[in-house]
Amino acid sequence: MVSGSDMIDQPLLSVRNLTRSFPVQGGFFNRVVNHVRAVDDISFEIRRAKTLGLIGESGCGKTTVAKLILRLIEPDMGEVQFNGEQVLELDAARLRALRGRIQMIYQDPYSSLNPRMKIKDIVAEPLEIHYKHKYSALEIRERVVDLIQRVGLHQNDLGKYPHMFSGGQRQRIGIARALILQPQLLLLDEPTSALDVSIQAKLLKLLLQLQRDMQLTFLFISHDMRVIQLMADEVAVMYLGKIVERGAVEDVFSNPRHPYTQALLAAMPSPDPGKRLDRLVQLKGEIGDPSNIPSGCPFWPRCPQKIGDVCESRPPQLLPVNGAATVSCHLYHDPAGGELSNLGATDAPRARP
Amino acid sequence: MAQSSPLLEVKNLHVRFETLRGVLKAVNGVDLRIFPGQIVGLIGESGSGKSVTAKSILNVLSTPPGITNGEIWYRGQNLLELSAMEMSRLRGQSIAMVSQDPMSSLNPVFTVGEQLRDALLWADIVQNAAGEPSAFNLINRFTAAGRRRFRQAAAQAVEDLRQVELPSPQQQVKNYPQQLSGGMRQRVLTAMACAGEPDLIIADEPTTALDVTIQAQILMLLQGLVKTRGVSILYISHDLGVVAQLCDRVAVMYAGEIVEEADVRDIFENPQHPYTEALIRATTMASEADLVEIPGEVPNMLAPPKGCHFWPRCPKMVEQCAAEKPRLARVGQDHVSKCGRVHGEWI
Repeated sequence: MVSGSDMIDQPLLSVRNLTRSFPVQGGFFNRVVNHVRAVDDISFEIRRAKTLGLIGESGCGKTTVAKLILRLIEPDMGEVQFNGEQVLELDAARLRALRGRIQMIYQDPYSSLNPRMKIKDIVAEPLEIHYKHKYSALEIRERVVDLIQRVGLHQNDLGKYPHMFSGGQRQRIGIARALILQPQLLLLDEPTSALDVSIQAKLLKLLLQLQRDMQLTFLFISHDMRVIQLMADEVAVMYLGKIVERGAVEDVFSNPRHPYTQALLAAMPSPDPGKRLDRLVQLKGEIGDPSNIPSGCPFWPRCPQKIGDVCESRPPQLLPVNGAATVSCHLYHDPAGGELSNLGATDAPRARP
Repeated sequence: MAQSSPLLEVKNLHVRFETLRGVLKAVNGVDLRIFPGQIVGLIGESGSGKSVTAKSILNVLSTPPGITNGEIWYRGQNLLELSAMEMSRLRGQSIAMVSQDPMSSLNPVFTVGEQLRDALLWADIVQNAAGEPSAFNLINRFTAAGRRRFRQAAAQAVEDLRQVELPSPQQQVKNYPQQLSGGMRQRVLTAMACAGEPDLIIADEPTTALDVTIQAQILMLLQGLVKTRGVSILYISHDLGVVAQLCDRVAVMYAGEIVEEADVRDIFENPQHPYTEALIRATTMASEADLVEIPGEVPNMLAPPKGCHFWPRCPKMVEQCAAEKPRLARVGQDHVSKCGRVHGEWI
């Protein structure tokens, strides 16, 4: 893996100990009564032209991770390195330049396009914002036409308004808008979950095609295991703000180790009528409340393989298992072992400079 | 399953909406049969007419009024010929509905306990009162008997919530819908649907808004209702995975028509219609090759294509598909498909 200072082998994005909590206000004077730990000590890397799939149920903090990377929300602590640059130390001007290289694609193709703008203006707008007056009108038009064709729309569509398109087409417009700045990294936040399956399939195919053609790197956020399995090279499973398992997608899907990953995979209904329905249900109870995260392992109240007190009292560490995937579960790491005793990372987090 | 007579039989159902831009034919000649204790899945993409079919069974198509033609037979009655009063006796009592969005189906200013209690009282009134059931009976708390009935219904509500495995129902009855999670709300709604002890539940995408682990719990709950109470379920969904696990029989809808219908194993192991085949591959997504192109979009139902509605997107299309309308034909035991090529109507 390590081959000197060769930039190609460096991950494009590397996130260390990223943490963010939100205050909950309430009571008589709108005081802060509680904190929601939305993202808790998350670390991962994405290599160039690869895809990391981020998977988890609603409220687990997936979207917040994407927003923290772009500093649309400021992290409480942690470190984000993009192309060797410390994102959290950038000033406003350089942050804006960085956002040209990291673009986001949103879940809802209806609310993410301005209904009063024509398609050509929507797609060209990032150029106006990032490189004002740098390009002539003709150059801009050429780039817009090129992109709109790449995403599978027609040149004649440029004068139309968003409401004249279906959900799948609107999502293509959103992709064209994101690509016009020639970004290196795309943060895709559930890009297909509002679409029908046949439309979803086409959009996923387009994304794979674009990734190959333009050497794009994806952070692909989804709650759909099938989509992640298809799109991602590596996968990170989130539960209540923490990554509980991370590894190569084939490895995690064929041999899930964390009980939550196992339950998620089991609950995925497959179009195979031979599978028994009761095997889908491995978890009892509701998804945990991020404003009231259980002590110890956040998953213990629902865990079918809970060992005992250690799960309730000690937070497990995310550590490699057999050199493959990393898993945060006491089942795989001896909690009494010395290797864990000095790893109270959440107790002494590094503050942001 | 064909030994008994069907509980519900939809025959040649047509629903159209007269809009300012023309007549929209949402449902075109749908036939559907549901037998007692059966779970029938109705699958299709958005706009294919699944929900309109379901709503016309309950006769609740809202403004602008859908104009319904055809027959819907339930226990020897044609539901489309019943009076409004007869229909409202049936609705929620014999045929109940669980809808997709549990938040907008529950009233935010009453606790879930109150709402379930009222559903139980209403069921009691409908079943016992002669003449037109009146909401006035519901608030009759001025007699000792009325108050007793109230208390009984409130206690029954807690019991019913326990039946649908809502955690700590004693406390939850005092909560408002917005204080419950999506999965818990769907349990409350299921309990309300069961209040009138229906023999048919129409479930319109009840798990679409839920996470997979919660979805699995709700599916188990519905399957349990079939086993313990013997209800039948018409399960509407766009997710082939869910339908494969839950249903006994599956009907695939496309552009207002049923294009294929068979037992669940037949549909998935031996799909006959090109649309069903493409849907299954798009759902499996085992590899990039499975992302088969279904080119184009669902047709605009104000101006549907001539001939087979699917031909503009069909990989197996031949000339006749655009000219002639295929019939629904038998392609196997209890297996029908509507594709001119597959059953040899043309070529």
